[in-house]
Amino acid sequence: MSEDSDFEKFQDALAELLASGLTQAQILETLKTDSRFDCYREYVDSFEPDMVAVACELMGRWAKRKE
Amino acid sequence: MLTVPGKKPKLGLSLMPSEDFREATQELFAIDKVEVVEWSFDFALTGAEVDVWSAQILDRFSAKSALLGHGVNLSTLSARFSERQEKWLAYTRSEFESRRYVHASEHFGFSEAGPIAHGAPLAVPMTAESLKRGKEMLKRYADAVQCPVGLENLAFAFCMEDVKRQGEFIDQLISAVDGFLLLDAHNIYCQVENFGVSERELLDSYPLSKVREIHLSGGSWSFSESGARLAVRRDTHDDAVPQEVFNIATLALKLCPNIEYVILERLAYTMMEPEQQEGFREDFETIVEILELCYV
Repeated sequence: MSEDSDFEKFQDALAELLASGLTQAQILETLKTDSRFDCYREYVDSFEPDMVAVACELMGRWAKRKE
Repeated sequence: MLTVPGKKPKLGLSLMPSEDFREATQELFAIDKVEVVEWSFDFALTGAEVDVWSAQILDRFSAKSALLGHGVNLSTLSARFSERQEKWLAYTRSEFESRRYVHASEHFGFSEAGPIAHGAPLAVPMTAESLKRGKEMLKRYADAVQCPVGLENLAFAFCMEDVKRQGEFIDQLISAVDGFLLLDAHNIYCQVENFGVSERELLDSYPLSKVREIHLSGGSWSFSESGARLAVRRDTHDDAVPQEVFNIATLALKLCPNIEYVILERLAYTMMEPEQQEGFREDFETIVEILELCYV
């Protein structure tokens, strides 16, 4: 089985974090410090807090978890 | 108003299998004002039921080659290709064999990753790898539907880079399948409001000659917790079309020479009051007027 790519690891971590139910401040802090986001560090550092809040709300409203 | 050379696009509705949508639109269907219908054909996969009235409309518009397919849950830019997506594509293949769709669109972005099976699409880092995965998925989609395939621009953006590069990236993605751009005017409006870019500059960043369809809808505002903006514009499809979106759509009609379809969208169960249903019909009539004024 092949090793997960950076893109796969990044997307899995981002979805998990946004759907985690953590507070917005905790999510923003995790985005800044968690090594799973290092491969796209410059991109993640440019995330706007308002938009991260929207992403969390979208997750809460529409996301269906895998069974 | 400057007229646009070329054939006037067909005007239609995104069909919602709900009582309020039927009440709001049955008059428009009865007098044949609706020229084309768009159908989110993967509703059934989420357990939604299609009522008899909606099914009859689908069959009628399929029979006259005026049915557009609009997928919601493929997750075009997921990093992984999942078993769920394989099933989605198999379902889509059978749906497109049973009804005659003119073309098929999906959304830019990813909605399946990690613990999440599907949801609202979110932006991705635009890299060689995400481009490769997206092209592979669009090829699978095109193979399943056996008709032209397109992508809709995304309202959501994590950052300015998502806004500025989306048009060019979509162009590269759809080039893999000789596809088209579905330009959502309200999604453009969201980015104009949320990121302070000009609508003309943003429109010009998209492959406008590849626009085959336009969406118009309304949305809502949510509180800006950071205070970086007055409020955040959201693509919620639950209100009347704002004047700004009519303006963007009119500009797009002038800038995009190959538009064939204009679709008005509204989420199910958001027009429970007669006044809201009347407002929806007024939005439809406003688009009729715009098209009459724009085209010779």
